[in-house]
Amino acid sequence: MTMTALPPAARRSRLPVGPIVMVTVGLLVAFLALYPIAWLLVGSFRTGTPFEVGHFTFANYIDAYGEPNILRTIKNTLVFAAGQTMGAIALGTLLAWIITRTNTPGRAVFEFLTLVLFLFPLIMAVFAWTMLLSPRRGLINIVLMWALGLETPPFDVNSMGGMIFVQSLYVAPLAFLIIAPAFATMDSSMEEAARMTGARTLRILRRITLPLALPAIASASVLLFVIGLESFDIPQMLGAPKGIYTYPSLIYHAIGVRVPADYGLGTALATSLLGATLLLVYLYRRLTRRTERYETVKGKGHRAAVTDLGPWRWVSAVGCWVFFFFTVFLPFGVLVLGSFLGFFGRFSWAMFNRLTLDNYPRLFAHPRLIDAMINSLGLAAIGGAVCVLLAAIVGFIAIKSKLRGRGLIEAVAMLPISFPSTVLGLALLWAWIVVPLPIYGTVLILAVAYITRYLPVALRTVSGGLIQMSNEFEEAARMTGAGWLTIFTRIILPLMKPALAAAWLLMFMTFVRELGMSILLVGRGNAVLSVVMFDYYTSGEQGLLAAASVLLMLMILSVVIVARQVFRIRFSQFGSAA
Amino acid sequence: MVDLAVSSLVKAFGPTRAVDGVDFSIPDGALATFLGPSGCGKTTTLRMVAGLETPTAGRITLGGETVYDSASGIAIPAERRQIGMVFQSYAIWPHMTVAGNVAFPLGIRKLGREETKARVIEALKLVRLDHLAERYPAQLSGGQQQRVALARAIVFQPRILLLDEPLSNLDAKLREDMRGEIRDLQQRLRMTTLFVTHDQAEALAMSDVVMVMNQGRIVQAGSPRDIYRRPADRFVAEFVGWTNFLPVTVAGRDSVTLDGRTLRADAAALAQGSRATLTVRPEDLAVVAGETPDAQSGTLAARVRTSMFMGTHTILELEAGPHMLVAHAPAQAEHARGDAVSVRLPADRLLVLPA
Repeated sequence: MTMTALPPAARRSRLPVGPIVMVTVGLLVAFLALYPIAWLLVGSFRTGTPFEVGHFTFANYIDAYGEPNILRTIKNTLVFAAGQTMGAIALGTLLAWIITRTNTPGRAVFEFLTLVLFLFPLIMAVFAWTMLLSPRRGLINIVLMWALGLETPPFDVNSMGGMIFVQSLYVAPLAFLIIAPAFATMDSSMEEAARMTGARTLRILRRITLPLALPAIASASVLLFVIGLESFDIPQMLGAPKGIYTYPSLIYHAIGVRVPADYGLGTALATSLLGATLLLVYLYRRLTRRTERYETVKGKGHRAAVTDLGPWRWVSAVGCWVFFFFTVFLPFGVLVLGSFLGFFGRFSWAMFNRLTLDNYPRLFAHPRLIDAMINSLGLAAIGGAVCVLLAAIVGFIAIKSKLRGRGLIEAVAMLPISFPSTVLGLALLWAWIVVPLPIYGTVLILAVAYITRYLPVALRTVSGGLIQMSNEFEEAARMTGAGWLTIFTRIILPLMKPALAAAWLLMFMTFVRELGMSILLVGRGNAVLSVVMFDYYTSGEQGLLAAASVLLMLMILSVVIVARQVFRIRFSQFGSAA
Repeated sequence: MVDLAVSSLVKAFGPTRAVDGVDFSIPDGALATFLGPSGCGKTTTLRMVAGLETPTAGRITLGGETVYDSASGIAIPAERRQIGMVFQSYAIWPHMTVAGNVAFPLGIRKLGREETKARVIEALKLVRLDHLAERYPAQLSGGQQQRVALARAIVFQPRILLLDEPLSNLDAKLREDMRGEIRDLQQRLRMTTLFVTHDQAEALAMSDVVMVMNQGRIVQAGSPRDIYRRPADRFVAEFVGWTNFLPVTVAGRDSVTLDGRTLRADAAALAQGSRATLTVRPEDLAVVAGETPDAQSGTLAARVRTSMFMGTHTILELEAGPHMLVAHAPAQAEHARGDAVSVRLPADRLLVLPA
């Protein structure tokens, strides 16, 4: 060659950079996940509040489980979790099949609407469904009583049935996310083989398609059951006012409502709930370990053929439109209407004479709301970015490096996926009150809370991209002389951009809606949107709540649409988060 | 470029030994090939030379510098070995242009802008891609991506070049073109090259030395002609295209017996009376219509089982008593199923291998 020979790459420092980063990240992740839980455990075995000196005791557990009402709470929690699991699985499976495996017209639109449903803030859903299904004022109740000539309203949203119903609608997209890939990657020749033997569509669906998707449906069920156990928003807003408590709402009741706060009850309940979710998540991991491997082996490029529903495709299309009308459009319409009314009251035509623009200026006159909005957006944008970056580093170590102990770091980072939000909220409350650092009562504690709790979700989303990435990309870089830092910044991060963007979007949406932890950690100085909206809800500020909801939804939608355009994020990328 | 020497290299995964004591060396400027079925340990050996896989034991020396030695604990990491490598998937980074990919190794070495540019263009010229420097990989064909990978591997003047099945993702026509192109470039630049493939035609066409691997060991090493004409055992013979295998007994220095009949063949290397395998290539069998009246030495009576017209020739599957034979007859030969034929086994084309 005419070129003169090159010297080898500049010798880097002898510092073992890999192990140093590894230990730092490992300590950070362990601190985030384990430190608050350790204090929760300590708290549950000692007397007094975190502000006082206490001593060792079993009394918290004895008191909590000695109370006669505890059986009812246990029953409520289990019934709610099981009920919403069944509802969401049924809806999610049906949606997944229609969207991935049939020729129903408008499937792309339905997939987008499922995403909207996935991101629909629960407080808005609760508010809207209250205006639709409350016994005295609910629009649907009024219409049905008038149309069918009923004496009493047929539905009551403030009941176990109402809670399960509303929750099912809005967690169904999660079931969809887990089950849809199983349908989409299914080998359609199995169904074609059944068709050749003379089986018709419905029989094929029942005997071939559904059984093949059963592993995914089973693991989705376990996960949804956990979500049901730890759900705070709907049990709190629909159940608690009528005295229907589940574990998370009872924990909040003990700490956030009772005066003085009953830390003993709260911590005892929290550790029990945590024990249950840890066990179930462990079970879920064991269930999914095999199917996951199967998934990666199959790889991409394989898309199952769609079933021709014939004229029934119009029926399924109309069914979907009805579903999304009731879950997305009607609630949003009711919220828009409510935002132009001072007080929603009983639905009547006369209310249209009371339309007003006052709510929006009133909203902006609330300094607390402005602060909350700035805090929420900042936490969601910056906190989300930090969370995704941490997830990228942990994912890189776990999946791409060969460092010893990488599996342990990933396991610890994944641990908080089984922390119910109220439990982690209480644990952090305790953990940061006892240290003399000015973190309790600031947005920083919220950032710590959000990042800890949702690092596993970000990690799963990012890992999806990392696993698919061929090892040869970074091996090629190594062969040219690149060290690991160069590989991470110049090769891995740029290649992961779509996965990182998807993860950030997911974190943004999740952080902006978070209520279960925030409500325990928000004090005077660190208000966030979800908590302010919750306060509006409890104090009956319907007009303000509706107006704030409309603004929030517009904000979320514009971020989603911009992100989808800029980063070409597909909904399915959220699938690995589940 | 420098020479490569590998001795007693072992890679164990648990109880199984993927690479089981491999010794070889490649002189400066030569192209050596690992040929073998998948799972024979050829890619693992290549990756150990690269530094991407850590050997269980052994020693690797590059131009006199030891880059790995289990005995003295030397293990230079891949990024410091100064080795160029082309991957099976090419691993062209999709977020960088062609020029960006090729410039990457130079950036690591902190070259100035002007020099980087000059070297990138020179490397791209070598692979005839200088007109596509600003393209992104997604806009390139498979063959072009392959050449980018090659340019990126040689631009920083590596000490040796490693090629991991670089042609397996190309279609047949392009693969033949690239064979010649890579060989030409390798000889022009006198690059010491280690090449891994499972395609015998590729190995024979491109190499100075072919090393046939099986079950973690090198079973035969030699020039392409050696390997092709004188395979050491049945495994190598099968792998480089010998297809007819007949069980025989060694009768003398130049004869063997098949079912009691004596055939002339060179069996000097084997002990008289021992069992052996007689092998012959399909194209070396001569097929004549009709049964030969006398039992002439070297001719077997057979019956046609299938006849497949291939355009350039006709493939015949023959039943000679209990034995199956495959023969290539001229294209115009017309033999139908069930026809009686005579098959001549030319003495100078027969190879006797240990059983």
